[in-house]
Amino acid sequence: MKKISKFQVIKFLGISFNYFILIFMSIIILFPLFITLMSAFNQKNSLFSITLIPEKISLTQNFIHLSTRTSYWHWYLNTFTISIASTLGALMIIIISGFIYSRYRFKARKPALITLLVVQIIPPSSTLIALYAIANSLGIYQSAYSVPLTYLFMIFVYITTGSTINTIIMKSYFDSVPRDLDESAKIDGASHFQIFKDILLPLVTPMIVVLGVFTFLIPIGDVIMPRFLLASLHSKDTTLALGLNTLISDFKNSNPNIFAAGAILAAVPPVVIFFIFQKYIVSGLTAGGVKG
Amino acid sequence: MSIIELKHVKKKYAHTEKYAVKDFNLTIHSGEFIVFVGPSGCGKSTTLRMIAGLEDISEGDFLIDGIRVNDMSSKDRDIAMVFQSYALYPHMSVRDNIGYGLKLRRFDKNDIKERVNAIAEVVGISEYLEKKPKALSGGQQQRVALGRAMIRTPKIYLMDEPLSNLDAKLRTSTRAEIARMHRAKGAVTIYVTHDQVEAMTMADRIVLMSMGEIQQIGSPRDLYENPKNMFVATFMGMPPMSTIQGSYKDGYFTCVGFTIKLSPFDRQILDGSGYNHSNIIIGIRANHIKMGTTYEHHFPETVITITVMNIEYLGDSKNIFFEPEPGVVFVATIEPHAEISIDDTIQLVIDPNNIHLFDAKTKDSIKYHTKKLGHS
Repeated sequence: MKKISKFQVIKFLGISFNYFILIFMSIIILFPLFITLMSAFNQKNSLFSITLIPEKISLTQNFIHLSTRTSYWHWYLNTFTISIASTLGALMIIIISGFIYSRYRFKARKPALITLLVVQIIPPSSTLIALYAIANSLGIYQSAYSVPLTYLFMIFVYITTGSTINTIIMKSYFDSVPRDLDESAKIDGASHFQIFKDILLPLVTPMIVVLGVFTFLIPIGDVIMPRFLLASLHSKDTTLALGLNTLISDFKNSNPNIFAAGAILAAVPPVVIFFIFQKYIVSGLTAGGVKG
Repeated sequence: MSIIELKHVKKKYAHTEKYAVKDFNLTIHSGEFIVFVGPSGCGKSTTLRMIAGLEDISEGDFLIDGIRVNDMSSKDRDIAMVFQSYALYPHMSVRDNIGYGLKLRRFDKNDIKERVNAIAEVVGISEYLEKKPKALSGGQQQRVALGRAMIRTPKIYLMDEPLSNLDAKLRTSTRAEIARMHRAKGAVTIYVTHDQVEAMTMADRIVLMSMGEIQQIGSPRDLYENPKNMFVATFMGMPPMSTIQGSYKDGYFTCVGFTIKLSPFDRQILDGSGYNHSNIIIGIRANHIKMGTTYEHHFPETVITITVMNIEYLGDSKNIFFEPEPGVVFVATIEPHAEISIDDTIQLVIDPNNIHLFDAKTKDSIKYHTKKLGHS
């Protein structure tokens, strides 16, 4: 019989412990997802069927209900319009201001960075009433184009809230690119814009993707701001989170299965985006650890 | 024929009182290999960066072919530069790295390709052209950086400690290669280093700097044999020159550790310049301190008795360290097979014809001007 050394036992126990924690956490994360998925395909209108896997499975019923009896696809379109527009807008601000804060020295630089840091501390929800008041006094709700204007206003708010701390993050990522590269390109004959476009932009792409994905996700899960700002609009002009919320907010007439179906569909675009940009997200999030 | 002139160039960074570079004057002729050398923080890199256009010139004029280029941007100054970190663009292939400068100057694609291939051949990186810099070793990356500078034919090549990240063996071979490339191109090369060996081996002229000031400009031989002051004398040469302060009186130099009689030539200069009965500093290079009875016979009045403090065996020679005065370390280079051990008391001979004399207060060389006249 082979003798097992003490070291091997400790190693085995350590690995087992790691796996135990991983599996435990996976269950905590995946089990609710599993229930949601199952109830999305459940024919009966109940969140908890007696068995874990529903007795009567219908692949389409809840989704058809969603399409025909709610304004789901309106919400879908509204939400992702906001997401895409605010992501593009925020990224534009983040990238350019991050570049400038990192590479140029000017008098207002430090005060501006500190202001960004301070502003970022205030939770966006604390200003909701003020935002409503501003929207109201701008006359957005009385206007003939109240829906597009409200959405424009919301996009604007998402861009500003999404670009405070992210500008600072982007700035530090720009900082991690050695200045030697800028200088080398400068001597090679590159203009400021060419340095930015040819040298820096490709090198900060991982962080652009990470911040882009994060800003993209915020409007999808946000309930509070739409509730304030979209309150006076028609129910079809609301967002996914808010619209789905109406399906379960009334306890007596709640449709948890329809809600689940809607939630699953809403998760598709973020998941796809995560898969496409996986490589960048990992390298962007682990940035600053070890420099290659 | 291009001439590069730096006239009273000064650098002062914002929010600081002191000048990082004080009154830099230099005229460089076509084809010269100039080395800026000095300890860290002496302003040599700052000067190079001012020439490159990466730093503003606070005061003074910088002219290329008689045209003032102080306010001209780097790309219009017609320069190429090799950085200490190589500064290769990590996301581009080696080919794109080398060709980037040409691409920005709107060269034809095929033309760029041909030129890159040609230069890759010269620096020996042809097989790595499609790889990313990260996949290359330090030496190969260095070659890419050289290639990137060499692909254009600028008026000035600037090199900021390009060899400092290489190991000793590679450094020696690359040194020779850079010198060869410089001769092939015939342009001006300005090379910054803190390594006096690199300066000695490569330079046509050395600019030795300290504390933002030029200490001496001259050929390697000038700086080694006729240093202008004590700083130059101790900086150039390995092992460094040993110096000690003492008093000069009627032909004899006396310090804590020993008394020696100076050569007639030295005595004449010292007496002529009024140094009799005053303090001076003498400097002796390690290879001018000898051992052996032949030397003792030859120079009986400069024999000193010392206690060996440390010995370094170098194969072809031996370095002997001793302290004539506590805290003042002297080095003598002697033949390697001498039977000496630490704490031995031995006799060494200082070659009286190769003693450097410095003023005790100003640390300037007393013989500098006389020797200079002797040269011409």
